[in-house]
Amino acid sequence: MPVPKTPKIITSLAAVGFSCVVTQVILIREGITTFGGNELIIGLILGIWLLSTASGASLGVFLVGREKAGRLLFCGHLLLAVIPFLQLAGFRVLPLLWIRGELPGIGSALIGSSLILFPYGLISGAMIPAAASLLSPDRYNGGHNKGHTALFHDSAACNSSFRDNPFHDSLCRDTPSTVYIIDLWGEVLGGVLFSFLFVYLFSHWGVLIALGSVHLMVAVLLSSPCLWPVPVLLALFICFSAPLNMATLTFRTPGQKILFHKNTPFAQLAITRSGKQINVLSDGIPLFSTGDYRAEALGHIPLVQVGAGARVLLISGGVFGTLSEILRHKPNWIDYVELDPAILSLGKKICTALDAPCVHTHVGDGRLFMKKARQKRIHYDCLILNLPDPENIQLNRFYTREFFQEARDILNPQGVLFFTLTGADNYLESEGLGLNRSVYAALTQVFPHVILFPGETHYFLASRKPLLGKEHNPGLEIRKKLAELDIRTRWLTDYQLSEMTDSFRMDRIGSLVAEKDALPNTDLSPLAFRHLLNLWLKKSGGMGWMVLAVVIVLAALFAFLACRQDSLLLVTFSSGYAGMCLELSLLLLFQIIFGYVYLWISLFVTLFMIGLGAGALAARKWRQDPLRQTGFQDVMLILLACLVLGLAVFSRRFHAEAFLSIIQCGIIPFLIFGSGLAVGWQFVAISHQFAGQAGRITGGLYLADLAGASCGTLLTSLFLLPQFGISGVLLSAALVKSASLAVVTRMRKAR
Amino acid sequence: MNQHTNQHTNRALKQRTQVKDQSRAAPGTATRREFLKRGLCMTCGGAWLALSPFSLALADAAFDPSDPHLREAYFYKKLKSKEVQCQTCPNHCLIKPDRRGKCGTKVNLSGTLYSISYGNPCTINADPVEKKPLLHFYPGTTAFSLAVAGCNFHCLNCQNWEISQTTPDKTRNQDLPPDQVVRLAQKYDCRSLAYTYSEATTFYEYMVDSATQARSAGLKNIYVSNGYITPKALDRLCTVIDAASINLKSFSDDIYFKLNGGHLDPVLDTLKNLHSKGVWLEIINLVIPTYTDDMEMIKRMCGWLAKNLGPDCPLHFPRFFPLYKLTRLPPTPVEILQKAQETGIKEGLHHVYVGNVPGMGDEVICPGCKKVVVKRKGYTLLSLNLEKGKCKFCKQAVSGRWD
Repeated sequence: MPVPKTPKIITSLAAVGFSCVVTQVILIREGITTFGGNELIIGLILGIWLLSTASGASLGVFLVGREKAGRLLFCGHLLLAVIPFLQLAGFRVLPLLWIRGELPGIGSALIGSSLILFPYGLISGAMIPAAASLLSPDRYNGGHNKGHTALFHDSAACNSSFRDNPFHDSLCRDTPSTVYIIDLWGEVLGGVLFSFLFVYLFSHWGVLIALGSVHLMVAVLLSSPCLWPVPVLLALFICFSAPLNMATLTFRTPGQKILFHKNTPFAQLAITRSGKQINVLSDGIPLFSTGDYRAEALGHIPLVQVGAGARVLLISGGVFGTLSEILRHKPNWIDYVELDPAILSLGKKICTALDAPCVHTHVGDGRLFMKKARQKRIHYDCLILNLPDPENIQLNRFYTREFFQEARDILNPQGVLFFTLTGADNYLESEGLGLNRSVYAALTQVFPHVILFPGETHYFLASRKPLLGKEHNPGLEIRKKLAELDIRTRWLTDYQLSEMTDSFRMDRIGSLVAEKDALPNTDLSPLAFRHLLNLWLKKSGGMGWMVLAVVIVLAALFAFLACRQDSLLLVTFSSGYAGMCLELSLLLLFQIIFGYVYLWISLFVTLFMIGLGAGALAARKWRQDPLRQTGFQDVMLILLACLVLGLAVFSRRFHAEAFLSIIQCGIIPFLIFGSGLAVGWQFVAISHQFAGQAGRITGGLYLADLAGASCGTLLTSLFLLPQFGISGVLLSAALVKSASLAVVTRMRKAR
Repeated sequence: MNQHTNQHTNRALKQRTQVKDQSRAAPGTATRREFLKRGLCMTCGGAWLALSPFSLALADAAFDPSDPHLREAYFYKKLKSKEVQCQTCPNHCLIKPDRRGKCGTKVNLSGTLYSISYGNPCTINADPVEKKPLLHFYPGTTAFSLAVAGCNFHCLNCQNWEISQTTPDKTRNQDLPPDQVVRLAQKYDCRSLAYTYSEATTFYEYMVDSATQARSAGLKNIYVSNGYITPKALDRLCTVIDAASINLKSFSDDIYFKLNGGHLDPVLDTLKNLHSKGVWLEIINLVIPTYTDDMEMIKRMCGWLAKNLGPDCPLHFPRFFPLYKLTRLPPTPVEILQKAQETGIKEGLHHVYVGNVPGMGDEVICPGCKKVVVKRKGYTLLSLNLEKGKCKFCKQAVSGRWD
């Protein structure tokens, strides 16, 4: 095997970064479809991914002293070209291992994700120190590493490339930071390409074919012609693997024929047929099936309150029957807002109501639409929120006190707000009760008149005026109104109405949810989201929290074992942790203030990575007293955490458009960039304080950084965010960074 | 060349050392021993963490036999070493002292088996009898329905998992001894009492005592169950109940075990026993896509029912909706339910209904003249064309309890 020249190693590193980030996103999306899309699952999968890459870095450190780094890189690329296909198929086949149709629990998610993700993480992580050892000058030092010198049998080519390389000097001095920056380039490119191109154009399988081809080309670059048949054969295999895509997708839809499948930035949508029935699935979960008339309740219960000629705002889910039911009340105007444009195009296949002249569709975030409506002074008679339960922090924004205040502002004085929450036919267990209590408390703090109709689904009506039927029999009132309008229903029949408006059941649920001391669900304290996660864990087996606690403690133990050799590694670990917390908090804060805007979110993630790269470059330029710089960046990160916390607390009190624009286009991007800058700067400043083999320095630092990011992800998603909200996450980052500052201060004093 | 390289490298290293006089040793200088040590530490830590909280969670709560919500079980066997064997359901749990049975509602206190589900229902409602579902049992009347938490099955699609997959010591309960149950049922003008929602067999003692008092007060008793009960316990129950709505989950033992954690044969025995003792019986068979929607299996089941229970035993095929843990399957297509209905009728059953589909399963048809004898909208009774249990039009007897 010839000696890989420096540009080839740079290409290899960039390819690893590029492929890692794209594969990560694809596998997280597949994991969500297999295991369910709540915050716990996303956090768990991302945490395992980071942990596996950190373990790979550790393995790489272990291997670079024993194996031939060039060969390791070559084999790594071959494996990274093929393994993602097996992982993708693995996620899709996994449901066959448990009972068909069953939602897997947290234990299955943990074991399944670990088994599937670890091989890729181990290999990609191990390639980083291997590449670093090839980039550094010590690769030629036979006394230092006998294994390395044995690799370069073509030493003439090696030396000539080494001498002639214009990057040589900088590479010698700054191998870890060089590796870090090149890896980041790859990641930025991968992130941008996936977010703005791949997700719209290709299936996941198709993207993996492209990634595999990149890896195989790099493998060809790194190897001698005698080895080229291996990547060529693998290239043939992956090119002809496309039919396996649909075959593996069918594992997720037993008894159904897939008619349509589409990737969108938000989910994997599918239309299937079982018998004559058409089903719509989002991330593997059935959303709607023909012959399901439960949407009747969503249309008629709120509309009988406002009568004909109303102006209606419908947030999400209209194509699945709600829109048709609303139209039966002859409204003047319907604004229908859907986050995912693919739902609207899919809706055209199953819903004719979209063509009604009074229906005006809008693509975007519902809360953002409401903000704009308030600015334009548009008022509605009825606001129907047809969203899933607050099962993640993004959805929780629609069930908070702040949201209800915004809803009140765009409703006419006689207007009604209507939404649903998970309920229970006969007994609301503690977490379901907590969920309903927190939302009810938030709602009653804003609206003086609230009615809750009980049942398997709880229907909430709120208004500033007394609601129809509040004092009398609401079932009778609704029935009378429907009869007046000559609206005949199939599901909302006498009995359904009688049951949901039964005074015995209504009084019981009313007294249960209207607890005096119940805390309201708010943007920054997402109680509803927490209760729903607890409910999901209860359903998934009861031992969920214990499994999560074990995962968090094991990750922390791993980090401790990885970093205990050196205090500076603990500082790197804390940077990884704080960086993840700050990035996540800022993204969530943006969503709370402005709504979920895919373009902005993708841009912010990219901006954070650019910040990392800029920080790394700055640290390479200013090299004086790296320990002082390390301490300075600790202070910066603590300040940033405090600033974000301040922004979170105060920003929502100001509604002036100019002020919000400054936050959107100035303050949040600045804070995101600043967080990346501080983390990247500190990583490189720390790397300047080590001497020895570049591969080991790089591997050790990557291990600490990724272990920190992994702990940050796991702790944040599994515990801090559900329990304490964004404030808890930011406080934890500030605390961790304060501890890191104390360590650095002690080191400076000792020096 | 090699010499040149070494010189070059040494110079670079020297420069580096000069720049960083405070430089540190390379991190992550892992040896094989170190690597193994880390792995071992992780594994041991994980095992300890995983096991210790689990064992804590399995510890049982303390119970006092003088608690009014504890009642000595009616059917159990005392064994040596203060162990007992519960005889209420076919699980036949062998229970050590201070431990519970599989259902979580029977606890062994010093060699005596107690039910902890006595007089402490977690939910009560006054429901239309059609909701049980019983379409041939006093139509249009109300059943006072109650449940104590607990179940001897673990159905993945349970509609009431909040109360069935837990135990009475973990739910919000009411204090409602049997006499008060009867009083409340009378207060709400109910014709019957229904032991329902969770699994009635797990609060067997409470059910039997309440049913006895209800019968004395002229009320009917409805047993809504999975039918997983021992013949001995069923015999005693049959002396006080009037109707049973039995959920025959499947006609395959394999599916029974997979989806519900039980077995088929004991349920079939229950059906035969209930029928032979003259208890009014209606059977529910939920049609779950890819599990119980196999027409061959449905045909065999209907054949068995017609042969062993007669053609007049009503059979319900309700539509499945994704619930609890079985959320990755779509609802049952309506035409599958209609096919199942046709299959049942072809196998000789007179009354086969589709459930959970608006507008279907609302009417009882006379097996003689095929006219509608009971008409409903939803669960609301619209008309009853029966006189003394006979069709008003053709005088054919229609099976059920109608007075």
